[in-house]
Amino acid sequence: MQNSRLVDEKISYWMIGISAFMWIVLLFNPAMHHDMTGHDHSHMASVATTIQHTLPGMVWNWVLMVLAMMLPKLIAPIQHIYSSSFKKRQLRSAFIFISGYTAVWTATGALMLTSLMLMNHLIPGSILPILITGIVAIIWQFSPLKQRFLNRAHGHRALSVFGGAADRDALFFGFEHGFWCVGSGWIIMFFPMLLPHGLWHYLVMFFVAFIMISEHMERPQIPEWRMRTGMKLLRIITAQTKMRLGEVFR
Amino acid sequence: MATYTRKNAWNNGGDFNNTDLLWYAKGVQAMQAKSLDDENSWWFFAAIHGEYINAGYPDSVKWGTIPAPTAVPTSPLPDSGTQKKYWNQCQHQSWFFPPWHRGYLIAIEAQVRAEVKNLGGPDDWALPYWNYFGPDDQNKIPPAFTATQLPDGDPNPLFVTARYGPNNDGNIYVNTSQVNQKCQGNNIYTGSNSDTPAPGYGGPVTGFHHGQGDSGNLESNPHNGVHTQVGGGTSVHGGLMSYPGTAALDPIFYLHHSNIDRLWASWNDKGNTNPTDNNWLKGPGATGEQEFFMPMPDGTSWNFTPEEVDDMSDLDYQYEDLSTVTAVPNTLAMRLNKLGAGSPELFNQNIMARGKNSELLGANDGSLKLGGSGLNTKVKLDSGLKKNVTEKLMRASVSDIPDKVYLELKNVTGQLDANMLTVSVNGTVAGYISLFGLLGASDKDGHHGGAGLNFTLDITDIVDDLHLSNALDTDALDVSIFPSNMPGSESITIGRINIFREEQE
Repeated sequence: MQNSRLVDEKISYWMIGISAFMWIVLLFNPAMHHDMTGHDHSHMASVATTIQHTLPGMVWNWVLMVLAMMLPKLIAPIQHIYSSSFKKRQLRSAFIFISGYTAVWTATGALMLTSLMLMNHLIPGSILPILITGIVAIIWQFSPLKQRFLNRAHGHRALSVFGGAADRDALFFGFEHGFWCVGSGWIIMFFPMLLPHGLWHYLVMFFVAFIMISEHMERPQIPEWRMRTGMKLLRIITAQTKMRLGEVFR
Repeated sequence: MATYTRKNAWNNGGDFNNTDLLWYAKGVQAMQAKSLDDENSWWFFAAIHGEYINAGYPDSVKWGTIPAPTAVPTSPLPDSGTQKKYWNQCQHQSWFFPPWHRGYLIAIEAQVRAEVKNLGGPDDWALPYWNYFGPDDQNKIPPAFTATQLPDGDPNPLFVTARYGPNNDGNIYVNTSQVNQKCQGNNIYTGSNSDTPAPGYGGPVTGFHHGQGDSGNLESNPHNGVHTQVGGGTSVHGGLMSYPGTAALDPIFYLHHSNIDRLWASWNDKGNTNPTDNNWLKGPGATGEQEFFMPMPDGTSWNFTPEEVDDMSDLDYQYEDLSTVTAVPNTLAMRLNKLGAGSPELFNQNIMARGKNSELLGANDGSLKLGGSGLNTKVKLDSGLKKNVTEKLMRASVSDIPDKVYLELKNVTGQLDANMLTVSVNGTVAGYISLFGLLGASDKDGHHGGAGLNFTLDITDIVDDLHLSNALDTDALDVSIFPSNMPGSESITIGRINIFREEQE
């Protein structure tokens, strides 16, 4: 059975609220300013030493960033978990699910950040990585394979409800959802990492989050090459604002 | 007095002596003569509901493999922009189910009427309805749809080969012991109360995140059941009516939906109200989804919202007869009386309890394969929650109304839509479920992302009976499910069987 409207709305508000908090943490976290780009360490002699010293901090910042950008995307699967779990287990299962989901992104982040540091070490100051990543991101954005990943993220599996099986299913659901999510968004998430720290970095991050949330809110489509603008969220905001203004001035 | 009156298809014997049906046939014939890419063609309109031309569906239902008649074209295709704007719009498992189909009917009716007028017919022609709940033999398909020829000797465009019936023998009727109009006793569009099982008469709220919603009660039964029973079919030849992507190719589709629309109009006529939420009134555009568009005979595109179609009289339409279920029982008074908490006075009061919070009460262990021989399984109940339900049943009163209980089949996937499931709990039939829409919902690249369909049955009455016979003191309920049509190696998967309780206030 579907959750009541109240429960669904509560889940939405919590996810958006925690996401907003994470954004604030990111914006005011001074460690982020250096570590995420890795630029400050490019002068180090050994890339292995650089990675060893800075990767854990960068990964931690990456996790914060993933939570800030992705939590609103998890509203629908968490609503699914709530409608498929005993009330006493709902929060626990949601937490396990988010942990599984975040673990997949964290592993991906570790790979991406390592490659970023390697690039900074090998070709410091080059805009080549930005150019190549930008081109791959555009091709991937319109590809049928990306659509396939987006579609799979809509297939919410049946979940066990009792004991350890419920925990296991919530975790696997998190892994699975994380996998589809990484598959659709890996390159677009990588792109902001290449930009030097500053206002543009955050603006691009926000824009990327906006696109990714929009894409996941769209209905599944036949996988084919197509323009995918990711503007559903904008359509919602526009329509809802228009409706509310219409009520005010009626 | 409205300009257009939709009348009973069984008038004048339901054959071509009923001039509404004769002109319908001629209008359909003219529309079928047009090409697939013509926005005024029969084929284009069928694709507005749904089509299996583009996607990789099984041969049994692909448009190119449908046995003639009707000979269904698969080319020339309209450009992709036109397809995107008009095709595959049908709204199911959504609170937009009634208004979208109403707009769709008005649009095709305008197309048929334009053809009828061109052929010298009446300019107030309106689509008849097939009231399968009518007296005598009206549960049978009107004879105009089974004749192979029109009175002038032309092939009858209302006849199609791929219409197999509930027993797959070509005998087309609606089994009214399984398909019923109990939903007409509901009194809220979305939500639940004593007289209205969840998710409500018209369907669940369709929010920003769409997905595997449940069908509304009007959609579940009778709508889905009629589709399945009329279409029938096997894994080799699918009945057109059995699948959303072929259903509107069969001319009986529109008479079925005319009746569904009549039931909605009748429901409103009894004083029941439609949603006043702007997210319903303004249609899916309010939640960032595609708006409703219909091509009209004058070449324009009609962009409509639910609020523009929620009253038939505003649209200059009426039905010849709005009668459906006459007596709506005082469900809550009957329930309390049965539980020993009632009194004769209760039946004279308009008592009602609203469904509040629902909560999972139990579930089976894993996914299940349902083959031709059916299945039996135990659905385990959480002992603490079951105790709460039992205690509430024991202290039942007007001021302390016991929970309602629902059975849910979740993540049901498979390929054979032409199926009615008979679902029983502890040996008592809980209800009948049509699998209309199963194939599309199981497609990983379809609107449900392959998650399948969910179904909910109200089993409150069965649980009350178990309580009264002291049989509820158990840690599990026995659920059995039998399909009507599962040949050979075919099977469907049921992801989970859940039981929910719902507080009443």
